[in-house]
Amino acid sequence: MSALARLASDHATVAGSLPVAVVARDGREAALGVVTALGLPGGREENWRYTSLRPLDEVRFVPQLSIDAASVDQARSLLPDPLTGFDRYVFIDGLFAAALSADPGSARGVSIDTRAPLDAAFGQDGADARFGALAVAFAPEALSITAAASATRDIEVLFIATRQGTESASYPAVTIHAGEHARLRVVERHLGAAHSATFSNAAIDLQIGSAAQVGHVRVQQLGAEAIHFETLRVEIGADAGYTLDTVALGARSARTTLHARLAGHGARIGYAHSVALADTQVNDTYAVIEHAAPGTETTQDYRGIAAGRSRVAFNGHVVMRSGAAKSASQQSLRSLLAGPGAEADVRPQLEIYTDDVKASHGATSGKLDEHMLFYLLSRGIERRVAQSLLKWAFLTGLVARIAIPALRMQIERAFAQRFTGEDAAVAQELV
Amino acid sequence: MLKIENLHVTVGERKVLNGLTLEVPTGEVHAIMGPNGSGKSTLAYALAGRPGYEATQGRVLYDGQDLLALPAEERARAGVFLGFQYPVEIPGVNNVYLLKAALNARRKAAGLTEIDAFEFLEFVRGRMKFMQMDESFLSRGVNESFSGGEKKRNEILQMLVLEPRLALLDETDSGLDIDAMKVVAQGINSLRGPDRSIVLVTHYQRLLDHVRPDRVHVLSRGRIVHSGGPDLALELERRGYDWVLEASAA
Repeated sequence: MSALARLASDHATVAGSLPVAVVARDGREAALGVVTALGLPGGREENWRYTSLRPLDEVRFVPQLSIDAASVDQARSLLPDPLTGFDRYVFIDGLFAAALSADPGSARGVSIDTRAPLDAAFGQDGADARFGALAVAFAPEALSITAAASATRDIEVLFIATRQGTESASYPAVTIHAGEHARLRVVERHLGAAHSATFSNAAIDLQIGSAAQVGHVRVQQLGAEAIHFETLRVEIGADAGYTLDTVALGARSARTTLHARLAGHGARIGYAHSVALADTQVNDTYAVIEHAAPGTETTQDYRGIAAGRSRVAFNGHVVMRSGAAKSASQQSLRSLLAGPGAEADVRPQLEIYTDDVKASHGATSGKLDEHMLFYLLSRGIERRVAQSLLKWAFLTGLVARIAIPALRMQIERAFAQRFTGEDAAVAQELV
Repeated sequence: MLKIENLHVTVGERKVLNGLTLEVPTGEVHAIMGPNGSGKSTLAYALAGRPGYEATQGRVLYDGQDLLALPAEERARAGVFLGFQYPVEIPGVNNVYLLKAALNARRKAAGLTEIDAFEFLEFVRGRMKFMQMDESFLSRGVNESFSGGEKKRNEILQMLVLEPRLALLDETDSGLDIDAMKVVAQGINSLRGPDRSIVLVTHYQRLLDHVRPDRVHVLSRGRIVHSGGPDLALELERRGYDWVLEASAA
């Protein structure tokens, strides 16, 4: 059976049991229709050239509808240390796990709903409709975080995948609304056991009101055999600021599709994305940032390091619409090959429909910086150690600006574990 | 200490040094001056072992050993230090790590044990105080977001920590205000001693007001064309380079 045929039959099996409070029955049918009409993407499509899609032939699309004790035990063993001051929401295979959460519920002007409605049209106007629609068709639950005007709160959301992808799928879904002048910090993590082969498809939807500030840190540490897709939609209002720090280490094959729209005058996005891969992992991102209002700003930084025979790809597409006068965009995309069979493809893309904008981009793929290397050598540091130091510096450069020290430390430890041999000894000293 | 004989250096396709000969005895401070593009920085880089700076002829003896045969890191461990004109920023590697790793590499080469962490911090703090640097600097990335003056101070701090036998300082005075210049000069002077040599590559005479050289050399078109005592720097400041270049061409 083809993946598409299995998708339809899985949906038929489970449709009657999916909560209508999250998406109404007809909304789910319509979303399924979008996926089946467009078909699953193939490697011949430009924006999907680097994603490994073959694993879709192996997975089941039916979501888990209840959590068993074994999954709770496994999830508990994977929980990182809590972050001080953050309320914690834990989902196991896409389902809210109250027992593992520290859930004060609605508080301080921020209301929380773990079974909130998901926009039935999610993802359909975005950079690629299919995986967003897939989430709408199947997601059994969705977390919503709604901040009233001027509210402030720090929230940590953990999605832990425990079931094999050949058995069932996980559909992490989050909707965030930040009211005017609200200040939210959201840490979103996707975790799995070290060698697990889970299948997850996440839908993350943000609406940021005028003059609000949202700091969003996303960390993906799924198992080494996991298949992971995620679709993000972000709408940023006037004078609002959104920082998105993404770190990806896990999964055999992971794909991120992002569509961020700077919708109001003076809206800003600061997007940093760090990826460290080994073995035969693949990580592919397609990020569209659309400047739709005057005076909007983008800064985008990517660092991808590919060891072994892994493959990193990042396509950073910035669009300046005709109404985006006096907007500015700055992209710095860098990849580093650290294995004989590794591959990297980083592409900045600019599409400009108005004069009077500033847009700069730089992309490099390849080797360690020769100037930095010589500087270290000139101080007597062994070449192998100097190379390890520079790999570390390359990878942690973007993480350094995550303003949550405990989280930064956890990420750096995870990076250090990713280093092997000589590199590992150096990394351990630097953490 | 340092004996350079008929050194020819090519950078890419360009011949930059064309038969440079120079001797710097142990315990002396020599200044290399010269117009833009004369090869001053190339000399410093070639001596420190920068890739791409290829010696095609001649030889360089450092304490009697063939310096050009050693890779950059071994030159450093043998006691050669280059103070960069444009120190590079390395975010993600903090200063304290670099200083400690560099010092231990040097100690290991000298047959000494690694310095323990406590002793090291005491040692570095003393030198930082001397260089009027804030302690917060230790946890920052190497040269990361440092001003031009801070970068130069950091070069001198590294030099004071590593205590090289031969220090090559490439335009360490450029970009410094007068107060920073005094601090940097004080750092350099503190390292002067009977068992070390210092080569100051400089464009202007003003550093030499604070660090009095034993000898001054004029470099032009890749060769030393004139040498003299410390007063030569003042004369160059007053009269420019043309008279030296004309005299050497004659």
